[in-house]
Amino acid sequence: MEFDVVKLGFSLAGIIILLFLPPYLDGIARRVKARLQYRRGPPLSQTWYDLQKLFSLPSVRSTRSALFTWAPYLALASSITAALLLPYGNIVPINIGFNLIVFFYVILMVSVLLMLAGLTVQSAFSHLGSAREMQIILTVEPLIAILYGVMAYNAGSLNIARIIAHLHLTPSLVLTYGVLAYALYVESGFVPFDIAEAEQEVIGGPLSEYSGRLLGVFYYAIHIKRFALLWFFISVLVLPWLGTIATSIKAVEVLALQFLLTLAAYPIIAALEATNARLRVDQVVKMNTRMFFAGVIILAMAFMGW
Amino acid sequence: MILEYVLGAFIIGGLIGFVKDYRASVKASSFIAFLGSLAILWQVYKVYTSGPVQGTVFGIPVHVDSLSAVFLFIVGIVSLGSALFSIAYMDYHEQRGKGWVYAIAYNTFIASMALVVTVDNLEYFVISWELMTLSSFILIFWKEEKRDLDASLKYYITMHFADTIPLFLLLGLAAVLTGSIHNLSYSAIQSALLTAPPSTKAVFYTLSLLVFIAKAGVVPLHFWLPDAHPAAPSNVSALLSGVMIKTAVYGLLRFDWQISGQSITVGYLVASLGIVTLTVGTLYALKEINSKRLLAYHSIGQMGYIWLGIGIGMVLIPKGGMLTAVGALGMFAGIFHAVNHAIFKGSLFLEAGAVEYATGTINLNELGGLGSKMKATALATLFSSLAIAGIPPFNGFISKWLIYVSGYYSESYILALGAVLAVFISAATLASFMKFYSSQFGGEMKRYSEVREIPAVMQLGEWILAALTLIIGLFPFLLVGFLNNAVSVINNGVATPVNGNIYKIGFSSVLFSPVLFIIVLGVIAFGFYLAFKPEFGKEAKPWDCGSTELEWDEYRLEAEGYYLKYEEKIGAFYRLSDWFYGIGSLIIHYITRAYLWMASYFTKIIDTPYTKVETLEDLREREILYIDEEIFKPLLRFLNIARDVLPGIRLGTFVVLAIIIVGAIVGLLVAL
Amino acid sequence: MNGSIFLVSALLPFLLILIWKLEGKAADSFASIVTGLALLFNIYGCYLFFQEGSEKLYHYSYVSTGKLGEVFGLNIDVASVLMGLFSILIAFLLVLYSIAYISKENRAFPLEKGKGKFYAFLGLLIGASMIFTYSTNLIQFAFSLELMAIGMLYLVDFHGNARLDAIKAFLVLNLGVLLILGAIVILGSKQVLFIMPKNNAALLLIMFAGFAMSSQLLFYSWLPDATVSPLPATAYVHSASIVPLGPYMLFRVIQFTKPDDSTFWVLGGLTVALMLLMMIYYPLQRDAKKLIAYSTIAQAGVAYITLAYALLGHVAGIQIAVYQVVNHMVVKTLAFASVGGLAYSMGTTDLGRIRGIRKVLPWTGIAWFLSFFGLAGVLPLGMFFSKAFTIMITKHAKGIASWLFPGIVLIDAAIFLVVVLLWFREFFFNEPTEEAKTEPKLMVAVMLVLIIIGVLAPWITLDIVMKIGFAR
Repeated sequence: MEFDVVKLGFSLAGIIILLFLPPYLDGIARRVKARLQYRRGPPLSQTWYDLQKLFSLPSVRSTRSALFTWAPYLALASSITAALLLPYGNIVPINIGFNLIVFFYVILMVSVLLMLAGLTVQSAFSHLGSAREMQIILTVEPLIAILYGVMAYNAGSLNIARIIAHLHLTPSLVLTYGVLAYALYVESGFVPFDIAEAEQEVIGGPLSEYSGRLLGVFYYAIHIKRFALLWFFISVLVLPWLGTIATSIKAVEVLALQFLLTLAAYPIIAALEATNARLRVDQVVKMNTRMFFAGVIILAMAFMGW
Repeated sequence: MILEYVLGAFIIGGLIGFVKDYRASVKASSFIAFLGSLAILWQVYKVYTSGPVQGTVFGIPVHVDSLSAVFLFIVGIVSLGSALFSIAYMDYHEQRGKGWVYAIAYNTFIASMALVVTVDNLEYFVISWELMTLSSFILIFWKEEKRDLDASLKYYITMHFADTIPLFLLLGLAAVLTGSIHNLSYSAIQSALLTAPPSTKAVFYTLSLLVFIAKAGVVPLHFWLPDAHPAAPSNVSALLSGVMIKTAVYGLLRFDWQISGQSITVGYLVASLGIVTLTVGTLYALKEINSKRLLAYHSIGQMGYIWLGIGIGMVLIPKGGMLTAVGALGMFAGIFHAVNHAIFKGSLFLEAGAVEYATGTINLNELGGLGSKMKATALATLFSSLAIAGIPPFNGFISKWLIYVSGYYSESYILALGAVLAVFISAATLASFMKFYSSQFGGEMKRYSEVREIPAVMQLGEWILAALTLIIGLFPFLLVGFLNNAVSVINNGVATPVNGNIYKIGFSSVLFSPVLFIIVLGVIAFGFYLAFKPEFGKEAKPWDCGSTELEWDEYRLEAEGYYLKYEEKIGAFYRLSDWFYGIGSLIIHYITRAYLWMASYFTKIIDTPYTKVETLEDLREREILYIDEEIFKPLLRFLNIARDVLPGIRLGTFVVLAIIIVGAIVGLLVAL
Repeated sequence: MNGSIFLVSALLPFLLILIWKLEGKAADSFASIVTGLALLFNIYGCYLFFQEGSEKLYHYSYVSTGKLGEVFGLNIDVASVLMGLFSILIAFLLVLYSIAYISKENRAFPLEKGKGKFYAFLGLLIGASMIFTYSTNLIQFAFSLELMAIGMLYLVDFHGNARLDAIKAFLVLNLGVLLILGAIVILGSKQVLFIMPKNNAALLLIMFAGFAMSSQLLFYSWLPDATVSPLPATAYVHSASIVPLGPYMLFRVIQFTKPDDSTFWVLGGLTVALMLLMMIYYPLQRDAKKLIAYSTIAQAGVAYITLAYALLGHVAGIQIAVYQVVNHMVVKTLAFASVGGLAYSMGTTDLGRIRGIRKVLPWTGIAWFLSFFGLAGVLPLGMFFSKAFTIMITKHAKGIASWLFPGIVLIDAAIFLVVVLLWFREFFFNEPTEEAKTEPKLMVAVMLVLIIIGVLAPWITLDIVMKIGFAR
């Protein structure tokens, strides 16, 4: 039963990371952005304070729809579930389907619920925001799908563990990593791809009618989703090259590496966010479509064995 | 045999339609159709538990094996929902009268579909197929609106050229193969094809594929579908999209796989058609603002998924080794998706009908705010929409996921690209159904404040199907044995190595446990909900920037505005497709012109020789020219002159003359 | 088994000539009783025949001459029994139909007097057709055809407005008679079917006589023009009399002589050419009756195509030819009955001028829908099955014919269907242009009976025609 204890330990570590780290990551990003703009910036836990504040406020109710009330909780549950599907060290906390496509769809559910929530109220702004979110998904999903295709072909499986175990280095894989980083960045909705929420244009998009605790839950869900996508990328990027993880010690090292790389990635993201301005919908669509055709070529390269 | 009860029920259901009173007629016939559907399901259950049955039903040879059982299940389950729904829904069309036409056509339609998937003989297959086409044609024009009429004509003409003619030729071919016109059973054709030359086989493939492409609404013969399916009453649309196009899938598996033997080329063709179809169908659906047309375009798109799955199976199964397993998975997933699509598409059409029943329109631009008025329908629509969009844990996810898996594992560039496009299109489907759901049920509108929820029996009809989307999604393994029997019966025993148990499903190392997923999701969501219960302060209308002039009902995004930018950006795709469509109409145009040119020589030119012939009407104005008349014109002129010259010539004169001549000859003959 | 039952049944209709001068109800009841009796006799005869076993062939010789051998007799076998039964059944139904149709209430062709005359000529036609059906020899064929031609001459010009058309029909049919006589000249005393030798010259002459009868190349225009005759008579000519008897005569000769295949291309080629021609004509026609006439020509063509297969020595060819002819009878009668409904109630048969049938004339509308679609080979009527079997026996064709013939048959039906569908859209729905009279109950009843027969006939007759075989 010793292994189970180890597993339990890693799972707990994973759960703690995925529950507590995401707002801090946002804190890092805010701090980095502030520094880039020669400001001092808020403390690292500022996002936590914000959430705390939101959680303590009652929400304004703009519709009686049950979906409006439940969507934030379901979104949060989806993003946590998605994060639970990822390896922490070499342990996946819950094994409900150890594969890329399930992960991909569970992450998608966060967006689905966000959009549904936005569409339940009678408001042009939230409708617009939801529609924008959908359009981003429309362009980024094929991109992700094709990159999954490359990885599945490269490793011969869609199982995340097997992918990690069997990926071998080819030129197409390198390109895949590059494009995947881009795709996940878009999917996370960082600037310049934050057109769905776009405060200045559509006053928060799908979230425009949310306030108080419900808004807090939604924000929390979105932070966890971003974390999950990043963690996923880091895992796919790093784990294949570390060899088999046979011992708990090595697993701890790996977990630490994942953790540190995640922390390290955020300043880069923040820098990108700070130095870019939001794109228009059509620009995003155009960029992603181009990327998609690049992806088709990468897939062809993969099938040719490159 | 239970099928006898089935047919008996539908015959009674049709005849009972002759009751004078419209309401009594449609209600009684729908109810009996419901009983018939129950009997169908009973038959399916019997086959599932105690193996295939073979025999004759009213003289018709039937053989219900595992493949038939799956498709019979589709017929039964969608008809069940549709028939229940019809009991109240058909009141909506009362002012159109002629309930008996509906009653006969509706019952015949279901009965013929049940026969199509169970008969064991090509002749009866063709007969039931034609009966299915005819009854659906009648149901499509039943509403008699101008647009519906055009749609039904387009449907029927397409079906005649692409279905009836090839089917008849197929009959001829089968008679050649088996050497007899009395023995066209599937097994006879199958064994005859084993020794047939490749060219004969090619003809067989071409003809049967043409039939099933047209019926399934697969590109390039899909153009009839988005017009025809919405034209029918919604309960019938559910059957058209849910069941009728699935008979083509059945035919594809039965004829182009089991009977004709395996062919990788055909597999690649089927898969590529599937890829093109799922892309074209769904991207066109994205633009649609008529809810039933939107659903119809998605039927095309989803049919693409099914064909892709089956195509993957056809390509890979003959290859052997691990790829055979992957191929079997693809075929399995294709059939599974056919079942799932039948269920959620049937449900969606019923829900569109429910909205039509409650509000009188199916225009998504006008609709809105029904969520609070029609709670049951809204939830059912949400379920089915998430199912068709492939969101876990609904049934659409499972089958789509398995199609992706088989595509990604296929080690073939085309098939893997197909899987990629399938994932992409899944997102487009999601987009489309976001719009479909929320433009009907999202928001709150004054316009529909008086709308009331539909009658309970209609709700029951749609919920039978909507609930199944979740049940199958949660416990997909319930169907695995059932579907795997079908896969193995057409593949000489090769079954899909789908592993798992009641709460999970998977293939080799990829697994998914919907039950566990929903438990985790539910526990987390509930946990957070209980821990941080939503607290509501005041109620307020959505913020509209303080506008005073804004019409409340208009403060929203209209359905056509949802994805405008995206549609503009992929405009090239639409232009390309429209260009192909234009080519099609150009061909028809030139055929018409060629005909007019030819036919103008068969009319007499009355006025000037240079009169322009633009339409058929111009030609119809003229007198018709007969070649023999022209040849014998001199003789006629002579007779005319004779008539004028000789006084007193009457009809009797001719008789006398003729009798004299004939009599003289006979007399001579006798004498000599 | 007694031949005189069939003889009585065949000769009874001639009695109608007696009511030449009668009018009104008296003529109606006499005509319906006489044809009804003929039908009953025939049914009884059929009952006896099938009881004795349908493979048997009965030959009754009544009149013989020295040089020409037998000139009048009855040939009772499964084919003639089937044809005769359907022919007299259709005749009886059409007489019933005429009771209501030929009246001054009829908007298109109101008739004050002359009903007796109509029955007289119709009776002549019916009787001659029956004699033709049971005929044992070529003289009898020629003789009864001459009678039919005379009947036609007067019926076409019945309303006094189509003299030229009448003469044309008469001349073409007489040409047919002459061609048969030519065959008799060649064969001499061997003109009796039972002893007829293989002779391609005679076969060709008979073939062209058949072409003249069923309005094939080269004389195809008389039939469309002859549709001006009173509608029930036209219906009878198209469905159960002159037109189907053309292929029937050829069928008889082929059945009894089993010729070789040297005339295959003449028969098949001319028929296919004609069907191609019909495809051009269908869309041009606005008049429902003429549209049906084109379809009749093409359907007779289908029978000739199957007979062409029979020339190659395949028994299925003659079986399906009879099947096609019999099924065509019912569907074609129904088509005419529905068009009669249009003429009676709307006052025109011009499809372009009629709207909203389904609202004002529901029964006629149903009959129209079923029959016109049925003619294009749509279920549930019989042409679907005969077309299917025609395609299925294509395997007996040779060379290019194996795909050309079925292709032409199918495309011909498809084009007819498209034309029908386009008319259907225009005139079946929409708002009615004017008030219409409701069709009389009797007409509706006849249509319903025809629909029922039409649905059942293909299933019943299939087994019967399969008993037909070459006589030697």
